[in-house]
Amino acid sequence: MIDWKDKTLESYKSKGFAERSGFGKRPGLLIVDFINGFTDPASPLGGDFSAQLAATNAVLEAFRRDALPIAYTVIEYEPGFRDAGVFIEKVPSLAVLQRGSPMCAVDDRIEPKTGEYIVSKKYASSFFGTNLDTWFRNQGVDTCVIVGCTTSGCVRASAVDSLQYGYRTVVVRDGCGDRAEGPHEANLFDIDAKYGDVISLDECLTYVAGLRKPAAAGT
Amino acid sequence: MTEDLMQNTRRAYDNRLGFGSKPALLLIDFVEAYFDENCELYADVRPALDSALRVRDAARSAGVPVIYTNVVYHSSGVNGGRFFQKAMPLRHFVEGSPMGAWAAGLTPDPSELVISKQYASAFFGTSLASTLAAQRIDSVLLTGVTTSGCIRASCVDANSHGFIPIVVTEAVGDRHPAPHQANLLDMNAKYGDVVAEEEVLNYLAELGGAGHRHAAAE
Repeated sequence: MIDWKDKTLESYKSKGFAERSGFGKRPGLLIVDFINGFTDPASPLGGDFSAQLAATNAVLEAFRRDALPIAYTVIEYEPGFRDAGVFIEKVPSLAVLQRGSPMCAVDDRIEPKTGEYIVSKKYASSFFGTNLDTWFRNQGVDTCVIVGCTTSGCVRASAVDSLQYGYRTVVVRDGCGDRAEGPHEANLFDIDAKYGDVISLDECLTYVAGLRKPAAAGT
Repeated sequence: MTEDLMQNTRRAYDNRLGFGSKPALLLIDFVEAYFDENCELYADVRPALDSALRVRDAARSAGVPVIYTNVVYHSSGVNGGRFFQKAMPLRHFVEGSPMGAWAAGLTPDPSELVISKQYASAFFGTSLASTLAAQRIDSVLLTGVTTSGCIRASCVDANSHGFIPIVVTEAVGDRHPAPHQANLLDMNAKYGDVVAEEEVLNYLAELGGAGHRHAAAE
């Protein structure tokens, strides 16, 4: 599955895709759906995302050090699932995500702290039917840094909408997980080609740390 | 990875939505840029357009609304935002560019709606969702280019807005087979049904037949 990537990327680059959209001055962190329903391998929707959660903690630490905006998404549906529309008809396993179930809670390994925002959503994109755009914009966020799961589902949809709402979009490869490697890589490829920059954890930490220098020099 | 891809995908996702009772047909971004070999956006998608035109004939016969999208930017590109910065070939879609003209063979009827958009999704920043809702449309038949770009984004948004997305396999195309296949897999797993042209044509024929019977009964 993966050997197509280099060839396709070469072709895309020669045609003017996969440009760097780069980082802005004020990033917000978007942690997509690291809830028990997805991170508990016993859940029908679940996978083992231990490594991605560890990477997310490293990003969280960097954002918290500078009090940068941090948002988590969870999926939770009302009893009866009338708020789940066509999505639950297509993916009946979403029925484990009924509001109040531990399956809807953020994984303890990345426990949210006071002042961090929890966005309740119903669909793949973190922006669809939520006030995430307003929440980020009110805090001057110009760059949306994304980790979470799954790469081929809610991360991809959120990255596309992040761009469409006008943010520079950065996806941290090490912080994103999927049930299988094929869709994971294919979707990182598409995101990097068209919607945002896919970067490593190290690059992300260097970027966030680099934001502090001008402030320090000015004081 | 202990479980193979298809096995895992089937476990989490193996479900069909089925056709709706009042569809609309979307032809997404079938413009010259994807058909001109000298353009960076060229994608060898003539067969996809031919398939979409067959579906369009069937849709017209069945009285199903046909809607087209294209991409149009201000000459400065300013309304293309980050997308214009990230994907350089989008400059071919500034207002008046010959690359933004309809592909040969695709002339919208004046009675059919054209929606100009600036981003990947046909729904983002456009009136498409309310237009469909006002006509009580329950499903969208998706054709066009590219599978990994605007088709994928429009499919996800169709689902989020409450419409059943039906992707017509032969009528969507991309520059490279791998992203094409990967995105068909994702869309069929989570958002809509990826269905063969023949099945869609049969569905539209039935729908047209039912409509005519209904009209005759009145």
